[in-house]
Amino acid sequence: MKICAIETSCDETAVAIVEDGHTVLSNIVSSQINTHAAFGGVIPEVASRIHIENISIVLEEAIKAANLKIEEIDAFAITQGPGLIGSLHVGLIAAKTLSWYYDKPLIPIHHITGHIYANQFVDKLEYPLLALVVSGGHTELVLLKEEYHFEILGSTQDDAIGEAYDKVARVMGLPYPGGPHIDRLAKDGKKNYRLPKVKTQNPLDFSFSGLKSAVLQLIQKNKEEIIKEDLAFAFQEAALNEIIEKTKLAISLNKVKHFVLAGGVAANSRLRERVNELKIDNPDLKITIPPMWCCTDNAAMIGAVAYVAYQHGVRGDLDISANPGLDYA
Amino acid sequence: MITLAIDTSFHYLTLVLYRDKDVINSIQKEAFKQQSETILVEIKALFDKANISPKDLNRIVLTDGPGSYTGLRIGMTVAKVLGALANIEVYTLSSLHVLAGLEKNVHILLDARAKRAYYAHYHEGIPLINERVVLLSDFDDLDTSNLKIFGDGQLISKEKYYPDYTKNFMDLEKYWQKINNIHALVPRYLKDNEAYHS
Ligand SMILES: [Zn+2]
Repeated sequence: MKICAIETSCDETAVAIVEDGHTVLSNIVSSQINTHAAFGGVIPEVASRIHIENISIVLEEAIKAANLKIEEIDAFAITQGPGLIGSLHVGLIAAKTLSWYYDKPLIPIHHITGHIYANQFVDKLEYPLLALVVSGGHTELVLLKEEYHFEILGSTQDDAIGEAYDKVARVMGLPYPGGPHIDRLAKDGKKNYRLPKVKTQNPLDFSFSGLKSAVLQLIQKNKEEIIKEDLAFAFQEAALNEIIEKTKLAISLNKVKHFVLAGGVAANSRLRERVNELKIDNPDLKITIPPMWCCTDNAAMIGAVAYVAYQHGVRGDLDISANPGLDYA
Repeated sequence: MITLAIDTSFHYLTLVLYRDKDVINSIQKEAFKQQSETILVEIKALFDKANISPKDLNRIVLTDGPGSYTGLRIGMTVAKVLGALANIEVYTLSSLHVLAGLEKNVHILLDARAKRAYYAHYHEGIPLINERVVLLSDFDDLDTSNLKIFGDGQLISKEKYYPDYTKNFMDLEKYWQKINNIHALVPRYLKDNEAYHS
């Protein structure tokens, strides 16, 4: 089954053709990162404008690169949410138009389930599965007791981890997006500054705003004397401690066979290293880290999960809405 | 020759299906903030009711602005996708022009928010004053009592009046702009280069 998937939830206009949920026939991503870097973040109206500029050419390229005729596509998958409303609209209308014109099913997808199922490109998923979703918009522990069944065990009470990285990078005078810069600086840093541990009511929830304020205070106290590498190190270790400790707790509280990492922050080199700690208490745990190409937003991951969703009977009518606050299936 | 006309530039969702010069079916309805949900449902209904297959569609004519940014992008996404992938010819027409149609000596005024309006003046389809953004205060010292105004006349203490403009797309066929590079088609936002935040 060949699925044409469209993803426009934030700042990438992306289209991919995926066969049977695991074979990528094409994967085109047109990133707006340079435009938004100039503004220091994603401006929703700018993102929508760029999506309408890109949508037709990215679609055309994806079909061409897959060496297919569009008539050979069996279904159209689309990110319905969460995301920026104006950006979601462009992809959603495109998918609906194609579904109507070519008389093929429409499969609406939750963006995060795409990140989770991106791991299908490298491993067979086994259940119960625990996903640690870490990105600029999300920090969540999601349990899949069985295939395509999502249960949120914990989520961030304030900033997403990627957002915290970006904000800390900004106060440190690093360019947007800040995550990779902090990751790079931290490699040369050492244990020097102390940052507080955060507390949340639900032990599986996350919080990063206290950490961000503590970094700000450190900078104000130390002024020019601050050692950026050490600060990056301290922040990164504190932020990653927060998510690794909670992941360990989630694994101890639930029967988990397979752990997967998902989302943009899964590209962080230190995080990729630290998930191996999970093996210490759980030697039989299967661990999968998504390939780098598929950590950032793309449509191949939407095509991957759409195949599974399709088997579970997920279909969308022509009247479905873009939903910025969409809940899991 | 089957033509689909699309206007999503303001509060209305207007769709017209033509066979040659004749209206087969049309819909013009208030759909503020609902255009995204309704547009494909209504397009499908137009084709189904007329017993026309989507594959029979030859041309799309759509309003490319000015208007609501979100609204413009909705109609344009349909046109760009079909233009690029299904080889449908795409043409554009101004959202103000289509309201005027072939009406004699008519002023078009549409809300551009923040005490501004999109404005143009037409006579039998011929532009006398081309579309532009004006301040509502520009009308303060004008005697508007004898002006025929279509659109948001209420902005300058006249009547709000939207005509039935389903026939107008075809009446103005000679003003259509043919889009030769579909990928380059973007909405004409008109009141541009100001804050991106609206
Ligand atoms: Zn994402």
